[in-house]
Amino acid sequence: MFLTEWRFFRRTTIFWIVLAATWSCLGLAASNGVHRWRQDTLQAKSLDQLIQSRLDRNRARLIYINAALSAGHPERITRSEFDWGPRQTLWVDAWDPPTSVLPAGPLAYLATGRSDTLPHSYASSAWRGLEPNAPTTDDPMTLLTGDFDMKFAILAVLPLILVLTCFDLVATEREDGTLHLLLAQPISFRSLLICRAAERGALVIGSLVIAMVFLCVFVLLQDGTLWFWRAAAYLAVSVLYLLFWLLVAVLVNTLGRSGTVNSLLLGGSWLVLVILLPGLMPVIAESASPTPSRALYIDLARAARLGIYNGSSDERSTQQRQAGMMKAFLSRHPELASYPNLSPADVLGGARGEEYSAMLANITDQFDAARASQQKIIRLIAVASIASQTDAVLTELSGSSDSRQTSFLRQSRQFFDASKHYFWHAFFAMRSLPRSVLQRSLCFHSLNRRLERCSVHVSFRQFF
Amino acid sequence: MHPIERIARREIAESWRDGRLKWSAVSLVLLLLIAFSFGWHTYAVRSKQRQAIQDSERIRWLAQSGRSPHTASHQGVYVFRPEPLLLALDCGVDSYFGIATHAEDEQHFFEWKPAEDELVAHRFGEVSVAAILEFMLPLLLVVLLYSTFSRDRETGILRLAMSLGVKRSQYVTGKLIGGLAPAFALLPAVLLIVMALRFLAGKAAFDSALPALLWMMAAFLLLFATFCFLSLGVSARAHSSRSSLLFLLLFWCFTSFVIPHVATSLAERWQPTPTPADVLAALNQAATSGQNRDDLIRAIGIELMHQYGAPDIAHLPLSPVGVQMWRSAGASEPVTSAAYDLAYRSYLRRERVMQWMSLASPMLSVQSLSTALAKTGPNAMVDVAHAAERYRFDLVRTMDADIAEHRNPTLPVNTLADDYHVGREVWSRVPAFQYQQPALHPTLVEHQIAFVLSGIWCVAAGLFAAVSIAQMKVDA
Repeated sequence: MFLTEWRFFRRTTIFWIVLAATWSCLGLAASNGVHRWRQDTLQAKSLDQLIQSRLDRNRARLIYINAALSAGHPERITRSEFDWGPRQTLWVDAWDPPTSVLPAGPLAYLATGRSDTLPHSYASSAWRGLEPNAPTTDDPMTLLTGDFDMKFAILAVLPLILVLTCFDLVATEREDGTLHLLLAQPISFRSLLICRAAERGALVIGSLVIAMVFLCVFVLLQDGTLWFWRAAAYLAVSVLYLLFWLLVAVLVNTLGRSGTVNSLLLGGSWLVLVILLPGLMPVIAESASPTPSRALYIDLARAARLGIYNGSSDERSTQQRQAGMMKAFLSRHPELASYPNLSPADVLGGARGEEYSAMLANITDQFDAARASQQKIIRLIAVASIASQTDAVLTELSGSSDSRQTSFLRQSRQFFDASKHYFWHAFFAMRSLPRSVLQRSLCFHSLNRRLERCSVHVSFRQFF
Repeated sequence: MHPIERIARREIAESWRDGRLKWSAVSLVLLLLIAFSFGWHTYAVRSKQRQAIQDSERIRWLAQSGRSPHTASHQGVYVFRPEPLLLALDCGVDSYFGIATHAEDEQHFFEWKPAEDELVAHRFGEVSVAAILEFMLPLLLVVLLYSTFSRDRETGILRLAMSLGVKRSQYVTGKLIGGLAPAFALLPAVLLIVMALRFLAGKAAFDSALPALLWMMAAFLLLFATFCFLSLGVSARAHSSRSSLLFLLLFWCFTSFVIPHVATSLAERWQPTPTPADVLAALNQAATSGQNRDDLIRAIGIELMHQYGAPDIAHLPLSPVGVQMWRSAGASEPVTSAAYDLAYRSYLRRERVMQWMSLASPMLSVQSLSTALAKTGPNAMVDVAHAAERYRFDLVRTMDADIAEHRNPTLPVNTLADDYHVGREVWSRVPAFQYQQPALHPTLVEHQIAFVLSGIWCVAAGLFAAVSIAQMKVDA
């Protein structure tokens, strides 16, 4: 019966319209996904090249300085280069660690998720550590509309195609009276309905499966990597979601209304579940638990920084405060106290940096705690919208969710900490770096596969 | 009773009996009110917080204890983006542009987009008054009008009406008035919102936003007229109510959700936005092209001695270090601005491409107009960014000028932070950041393409409706 109905369905115009609409939508989504993935990859490479070119520039200048000094011509170099020359930490960017760069997510072509709004890289300073305010340059208009990616196609467009195809599974036959004639044959109403829904579902879902397989293979051939199980889970969730819409269509068709009423009911369901409920979720969450103010965060962070770095009008109290910070710093790092050339200015720099990092971490924790409470509410409300639930799952599976960004931020922090401690002994000992250290410069590497669990991998790039 | 009135009454009675339409209109009114409350809440909270924090930032700037102007320019001031009043109605790209920038020795992008803190990954549009008027009201119009003529034709009422001597124009007018009756229920809600805005914002703020608000309404009216005409035309031409509904629903879905996404994707390909790495590369190029600073200061010292006829540097009225900094800031500003403008100009170019894309969807043109008039579009954001940059540059220049005029000319550059300290009298020369919203006329000129295309859509839909109604068959 399925084959008979399928042959009949293939002869109708609607079949070709659905096929064309589905493949146009999937083709565009796949093309955009690959474009976004390539852009992310290119961006990561460009940032990496920038870091490398800065190192190359430093290296060239250092060679020049060494040549000028060894030739007895200090006038060829600047005063600051002459002063700072021996402290070669400067020339491996130890004071200004390399930017940490987030590599493109291996499944970024399946969903843009949060990757277009959150930073792709973080910069840091040797003393202060990381300040999580790296800008992105994405066009705000594009961000507002969002990418036409595979996730958008699955969440919004394919269900729309499905419901618009399925509103009239038996309505026309019911209205013109041929349904009775059909049911006089040895077929039940239920099997007729399911059979017709299944062939429409097969057309859309089958197209999705084929498109996904082609897309994954294409990216794999373009030097991409494939998280096989994640991609498989992504596909499975997408298929389940589309089956839900098919089920809704079947249920509406069983109500026995006219085709017009069916189309209104199905269109309305799509509107409510895909557009209205997800759109209202932030409103409800915001009313129940307001988003913490980022302006206030900036204000607190700024007050903390200026409070630590700026002196007050009362010179004595400033000195007392600084002495206290330095004492606390040395008690935290007793190994530094033994250096014979320990400079008070460096100790103050280290103490201020640590104090500021601690205060910023405290402010950030409070901010994140407030966001976490909002997250709970959103999770609770999302139960009402299958589109939101599926959205969250697909974003997570594609590796472009908040959790990947959080992991990246955590790894960047660890990297900058590692970088700081790697060079600190040279700062405080007021000496040139040993050749073993000087030869290498830190570079950030994150692991994509186990972003949630992995510890930071500090690796080195050749300097000389 | 006039035939128009009679037809309209019958239509209204039918609409009233059809509970779905009543509930659709009521839901839409509720949605509008919720959206306004949310929009106003966002505007009021952000505005209040920004003002408070901007004030405390100003206090911090003025309260700097005796220090070098150069150190002060490194401290700088955080400049926050002011919220336009009409943000309460249309949030536009507000969530996708940073809220503040650090105006200090170097230029920075605006950072901390509100969207970074949002916890929902999908982006199917934000709930705002403008979004409801742009997307939901056309849908209501479609649902109200899809069967205006087709149902009467199917039931034979159309033939009956024509046989009674009712003129076609009277019939159409009566059907239109009656069909749109549930939509008129939204008028009090819209008026209520406007009055609430006037009451909450105060007279001065409301009056300054009123012209833009009226233009916004005009843009929305063009959109509503387009959908009305289109629905009437399709209903007159369609074989059945079902095909009419299907066509109109498809049109609405594609113009509201699919085409904007497709247009954005195409615009991204045609006008790519530079990445932060591109901007950084341009900045690095600018940084490396300069001469050695010590050499420059030496050369400036000699130049000034010639200019003022001073026998040595000690007798100069200006500090060569300060002059070098002043000149360097002036020389680097266009270069760094050009680097940042790589991104900003790409936003503007893409916005223009999106205006042209309105050829494919009337929603796009209205969205572009609405956000521009609410001052929440890309143009407004770029304008704030440029204003903040001008402010930053003036701040740095004021500090550098003070160093040039008052610092001992013999002092070297590397003791700049320690040997010349000033106080509040210098900090107060830098005024607080004041931003003047762009005027209405330039905004309208920048968005004339969108306005013209909105008009073309409306006229084309009107012609389509007129022709379809003129050629409308009486029998199914």
